[in-house]
Amino acid sequence: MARIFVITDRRSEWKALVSGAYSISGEKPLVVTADKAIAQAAADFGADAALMSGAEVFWNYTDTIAALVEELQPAGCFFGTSPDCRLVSGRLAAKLGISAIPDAKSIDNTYAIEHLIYGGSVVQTSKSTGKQFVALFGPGQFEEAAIPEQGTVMNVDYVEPKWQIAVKEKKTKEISAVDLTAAKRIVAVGLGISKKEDLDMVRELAALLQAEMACTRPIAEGLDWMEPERYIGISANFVKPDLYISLGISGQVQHTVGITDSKVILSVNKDPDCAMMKQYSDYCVAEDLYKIVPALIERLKK
Amino acid sequence: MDILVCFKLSPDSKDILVSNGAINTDRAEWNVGEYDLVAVEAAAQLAAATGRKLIGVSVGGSQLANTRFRKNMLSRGCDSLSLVMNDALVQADTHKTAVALAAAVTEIGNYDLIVCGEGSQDLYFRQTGIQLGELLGLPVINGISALNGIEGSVLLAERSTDSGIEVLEIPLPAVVCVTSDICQSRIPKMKDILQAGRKPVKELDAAGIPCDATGSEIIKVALPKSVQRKAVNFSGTPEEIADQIVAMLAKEGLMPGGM
Repeated sequence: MARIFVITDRRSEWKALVSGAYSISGEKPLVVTADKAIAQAAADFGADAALMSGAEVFWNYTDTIAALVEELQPAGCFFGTSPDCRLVSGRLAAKLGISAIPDAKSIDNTYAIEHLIYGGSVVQTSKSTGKQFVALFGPGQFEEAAIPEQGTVMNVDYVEPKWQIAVKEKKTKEISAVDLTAAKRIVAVGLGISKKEDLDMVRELAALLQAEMACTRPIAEGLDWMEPERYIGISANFVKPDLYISLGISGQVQHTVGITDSKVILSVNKDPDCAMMKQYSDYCVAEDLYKIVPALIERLKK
Repeated sequence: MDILVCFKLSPDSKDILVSNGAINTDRAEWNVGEYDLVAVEAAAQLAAATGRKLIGVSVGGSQLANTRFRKNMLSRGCDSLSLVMNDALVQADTHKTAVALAAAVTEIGNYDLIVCGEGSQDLYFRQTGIQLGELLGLPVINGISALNGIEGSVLLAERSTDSGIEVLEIPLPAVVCVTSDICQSRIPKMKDILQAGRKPVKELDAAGIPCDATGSEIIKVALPKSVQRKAVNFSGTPEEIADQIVAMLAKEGLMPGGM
């Protein structure tokens, strides 16, 4: 089988992608990166690396990556899910005359790719109609396992892009280091929380349980009460904790597709008939979370 | 130069059934997803601020003939619509849709900016606008969280990334995909709805539009795996419930330190 390219600009993603690519093709993957540290680490991890240089922004490597695909004819490309990965994978797919499959859940050795559509209510299996496939994998889709070999690093010629978008300024924010996909316990909140300050009591509960805080999309996007890295669901994290506690979450499928692999789910919601309570919970408390959370905090402090 | 905004008419997720290994949309209401409506609003605000016309563009099946859909889109700031109707485009994948859109916007002409949403409500690939830009050979960028204006032939915009915000100068003509939270979609006013009926809708000649550029084949569709949950109820006073929760955590081996 031909090798698979692994392409991501996130330092947190490439190891899992290399492991996944190696497990299905049996060939050493090629990590295509503009980050010297990733290239060297990838070689030590057992993959080969193609080190690109010459551009200040990742999307300017699209033509370089396309030329490398043309030259080396890989079976396909694994991308991460950063905004730049979505951009470069889409442009590459257009050049290859195929559709990139985003947020893939699995891939087999025929390169049939499982992914969710209709807000997570349907699992579709798709295959590329071209010579290569392009797939994007979110965090937590593959177990990291080093390849017991030493890889090599090669340098790649830069292909000058046909256009330039100028980055005039970068306003950096603090990057959240949370990795929900590795969390053993999670306490998640939904719109049942009525104001941002009330997250303090949830934070206290999470600390007592040694759990990570998480949320549904509206809490992170729109309300901006938590970092986007903390929301669970179709377009973000898929988690697999031993314990998942939902507080004031109604259980829309866009969220619940992300918690299917939780071992034990406890839910607190005033509405006993919501989907979260009826379909997705092992233990249900049909009560106001504003009464239960403080009582639970007191009990855990004992 | 006009601004074009692309959107997709698609079946509502909540009405989708899977039967006999196929997606059944018979009972589904067809509408335009919220992320596309946000893109229309962002484009409408930029068009108003820069004194340009906004043309709504969509490619799809015969559902696009629906007058309620057309009036709805025209009441959201579009000055006119240009549509490609061909049933070969129903449930088209990203590449097929982008190829058809590229041909459609080329026929429309006289634009220097194309705005797309984050993703459609049905497939949500977040790729069509990106492919469209690449197929047209134009500068293309995603994650645009602010459209700040047009100076000469440069679009001033901001992009949301992992590490923060990038302030961009995008040479026009270009294709931009905006985030789902760039603005709130509009609730059309009565005046907008009345005016919508008088705005033009152009149906492009589908014969000149490639509608067969499939980039993926569907092997299988299925319902997601479901896990049978116990649904045990805890009840009583908050203190009693807290006791029951702690007893459950202990029994399941989930107490902190007790694992």
